[in-house]
Amino acid sequence: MSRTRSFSQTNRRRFLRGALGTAMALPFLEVFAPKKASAATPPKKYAFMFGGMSIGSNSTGKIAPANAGALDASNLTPALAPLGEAGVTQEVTIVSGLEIPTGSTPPVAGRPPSFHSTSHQVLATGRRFDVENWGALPGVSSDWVAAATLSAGTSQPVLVYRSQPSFYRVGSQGTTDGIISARLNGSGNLEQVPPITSPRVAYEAMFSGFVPPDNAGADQAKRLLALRTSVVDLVATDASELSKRLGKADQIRMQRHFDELRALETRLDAMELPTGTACSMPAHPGDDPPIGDAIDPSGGGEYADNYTNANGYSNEDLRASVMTDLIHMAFACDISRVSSFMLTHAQCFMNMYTLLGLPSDLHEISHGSIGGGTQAETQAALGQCAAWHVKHFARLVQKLRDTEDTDGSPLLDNTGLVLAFEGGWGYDPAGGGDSSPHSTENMVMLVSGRAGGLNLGQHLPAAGAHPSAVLNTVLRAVGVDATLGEVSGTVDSLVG
Amino acid sequence: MRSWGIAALFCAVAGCVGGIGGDDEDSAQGNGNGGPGGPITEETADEIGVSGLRRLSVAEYRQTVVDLVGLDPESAESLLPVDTLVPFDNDYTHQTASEALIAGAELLAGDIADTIVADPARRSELVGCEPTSATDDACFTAFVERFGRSAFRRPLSEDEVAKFASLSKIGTDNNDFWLGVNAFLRAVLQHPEFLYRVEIGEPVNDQPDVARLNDFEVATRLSYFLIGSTPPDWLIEAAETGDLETSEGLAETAKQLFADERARGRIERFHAMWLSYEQLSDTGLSGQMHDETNALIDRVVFDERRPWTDILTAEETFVTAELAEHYGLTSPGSEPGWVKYGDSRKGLLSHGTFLSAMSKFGDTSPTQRGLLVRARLFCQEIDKPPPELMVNTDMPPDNGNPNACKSEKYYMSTEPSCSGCHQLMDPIGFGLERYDATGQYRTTEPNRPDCPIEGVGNFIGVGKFEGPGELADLAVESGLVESCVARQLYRLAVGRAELDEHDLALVERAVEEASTKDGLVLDAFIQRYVTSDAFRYRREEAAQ
Repeated sequence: MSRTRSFSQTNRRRFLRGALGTAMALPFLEVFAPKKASAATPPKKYAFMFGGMSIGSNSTGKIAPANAGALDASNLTPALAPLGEAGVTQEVTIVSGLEIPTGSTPPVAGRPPSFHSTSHQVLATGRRFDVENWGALPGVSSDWVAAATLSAGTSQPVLVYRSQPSFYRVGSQGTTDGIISARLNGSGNLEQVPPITSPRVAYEAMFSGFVPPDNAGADQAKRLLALRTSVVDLVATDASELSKRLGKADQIRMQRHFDELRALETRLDAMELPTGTACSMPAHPGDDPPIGDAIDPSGGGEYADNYTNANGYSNEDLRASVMTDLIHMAFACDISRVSSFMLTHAQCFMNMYTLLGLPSDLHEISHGSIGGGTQAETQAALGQCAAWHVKHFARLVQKLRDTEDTDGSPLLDNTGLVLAFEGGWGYDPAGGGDSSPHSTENMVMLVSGRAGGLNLGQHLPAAGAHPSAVLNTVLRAVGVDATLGEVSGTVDSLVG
Repeated sequence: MRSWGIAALFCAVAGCVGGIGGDDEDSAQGNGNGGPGGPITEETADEIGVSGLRRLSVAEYRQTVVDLVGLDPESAESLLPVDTLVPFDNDYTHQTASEALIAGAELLAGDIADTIVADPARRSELVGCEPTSATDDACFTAFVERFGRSAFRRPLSEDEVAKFASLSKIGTDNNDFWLGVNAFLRAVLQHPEFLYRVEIGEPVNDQPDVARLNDFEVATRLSYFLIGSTPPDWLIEAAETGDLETSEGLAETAKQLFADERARGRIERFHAMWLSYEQLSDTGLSGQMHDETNALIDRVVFDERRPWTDILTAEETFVTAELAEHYGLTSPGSEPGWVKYGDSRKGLLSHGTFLSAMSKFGDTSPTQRGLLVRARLFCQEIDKPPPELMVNTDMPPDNGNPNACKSEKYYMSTEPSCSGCHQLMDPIGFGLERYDATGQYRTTEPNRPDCPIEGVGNFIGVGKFEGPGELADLAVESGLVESCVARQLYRLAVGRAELDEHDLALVERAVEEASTKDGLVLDAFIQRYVTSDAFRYRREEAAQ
């Protein structure tokens, strides 16, 4: 939201309603992308993805290949196999050896010794963990940094999604583990941005306003949209009036509510789909898959008995597919140019049984526990879990590569993408041990997108570099001249 | 370490036995303040807590819609953002108006409106009049007035009625009366005055940050506190006729609400969130555990109105044959029923619900159980381990000997650098170790028949005990638990976990006045709280 936005601002809908009264609808791109320079230079896009797990420390569990240099079919680890399956090995680079420093007083861009819930905030913002405000992102995350440069004129400045809708843990909720996006609000205060976790909400937030021109039901669809828009307009006007009667603290809350209502109203404007581009409306995802119950790992019986059921899983595989499809189409339609997508919570307790046949949750697997498996088995399991995250990343890369931007070039040429993981492996200052999953040594990130000449198809070791330096590099590749928090460096081998 | 020293609150023998549920209430007196517009005493001012804009929790939204339109919008669980449990689901300081909320609320309102309007019988019943034509403004306006009053918890002004009634034009334009109704329902169900509980009130002389709530705001406070839903029509009427102006009126109102079936659900869920078993599955054996605990709460709090501590010391429990067998108790027969314990079990601390909470590393965690007892049951906060200790709370404790028994691996309560905090927690948990995370009795550690469980606990500062029964007795004897229960209930009532000196002043006085030599009956505390003068006021929140 712009800081200058106020209750008195004339809203776009009133202006558009007149236009829609005629047979001619406004050209799509003029509405949503008024600042777009020309069809010859499509806007740049930035996609951030996150997996809430640590990576393994040996050949089957870890993600990076043993050797540096070109990636190819011969050296893809099991975790990277989905790149080959999607045919995007040459579009992706893996950066390894990344590290977030630790200290009992968190150092610059560092975290405290205890691992859980202390790393994703740092890697997303480049700022040291805030021990006074435990769990909250300490600064603006890379998605909103990117949006400040890239998102002008789009109806959704950042798509903030999470495919895992629940923490799945009896007696604990992991509230801050589920948020990896933070921005400055209209009052200039840092604000955590909770993600959309419902595929249906995500879809409708993006595509409600679109009416296919030759659909027989177009008139009815337009009537419904007009109804919804009138209602939201009334509600937003009332929110504005109500705000005037509130005390200061409540006024700030209501202002936020109002801003979001106006944003919704803009999105509800009946729009024709643009023609002559790859933009098309995906099928409605339908009702959300049911949300799985929490897992009780002490539920009695054999260990595996607590997992060989439907608990702890809400069809995240389908949810993630819907959400990557939406990010893809948002970029193709220029509805949004930035996304922040948590595939899984930090410290993820998703049950991996339905998905991968592993009777354990992701967190326990990271700790080598799949109900008594051998070390080799648990490392293999860990690789499979990482591969699930990589699969969805690869899927987005593939779709962006195979879809044309407005100038006919692949969308991927104008995009920078990153997949980050919560932890690496190595020294754990809290628990001791040199190959602990409770470590932010030896972290990896997957990078893709040909914007700014990123060096793809490689395994690039970057010993000791900060994960946020990778984000800086990708941000600069998409034309965002920003330094993330306290991290000013880049990973130079990633460019050119 | 932060504030673990609780202000010990020894419940004085008070002369007043008040109660909501029974006939013997000596209806609580206010402490002498004037009626509407009157000055407030310093004592009242000291007890007025901060209130902010509170969004209905998902559970409150669902119950409210059930009560307004007669259908349960289950998809609210998926479409609305998950509420933060700290430990209650309604803490407004953790609520954010995000895109996820606004987009979800709009969709949800549309789903509900569409469902109602698509059903001729349901829509006619709700609207209350049969439209004579698509332009039946009289029917539409009457519905707006009546439904708006229920949904906004206050009568609508003429301007508001006109504004909402203008939505009928959508129906008129499309020659479909029900399309206008659809628009109106959508507007209400995503309206900020529906989604949020708005408290504004009237300014009070000489108290710049304090406002006196109007009677509708008071009715809403009462209703969401006691039944977790919108005020019933009779309550809005009571607010309209001034019945809530007096302590007697408030007392009577609270009594009626407490007699409502929904109050049981509210108080049951209060316990579940408070003691951290709310997320335990409600199917199978764990569903029977929920039933067991709820039956005890119902019996003590509602049916027999006994002191709350009887929930801890009950010598009977309500079980199915299957659950009785699981616990090793006498079977109640084919139907669920009350059975005597006759062992070292007593009350809620012996239930599978409570014992399931906070387990870790595939078994019970003595540390976490100790923390649960200290922080939740005794309101004694214990801080996170300080960073300089390099504590890893995510790895099982390890004393360096891989063959050690669990009791030896938990070395922290004797290790000098840890024991300052851990001696307050782990020895409590060890006193419950003979009861596993499902409530089954055991005498050796899991998969370690060579490791006997001693089962002796030490609640430092209170006493030694063996098992949940003795812990319950200690808790009751300490006199510390009742003020904590009251404090937790107050947190639920105000939707805020952080309490300040104003909040505590009110809670502690109400506990003292409501307690008798037998202890604190929950409805007596509620009575004292809602009839206190401070209940009618709010303090403005400091803006960030």
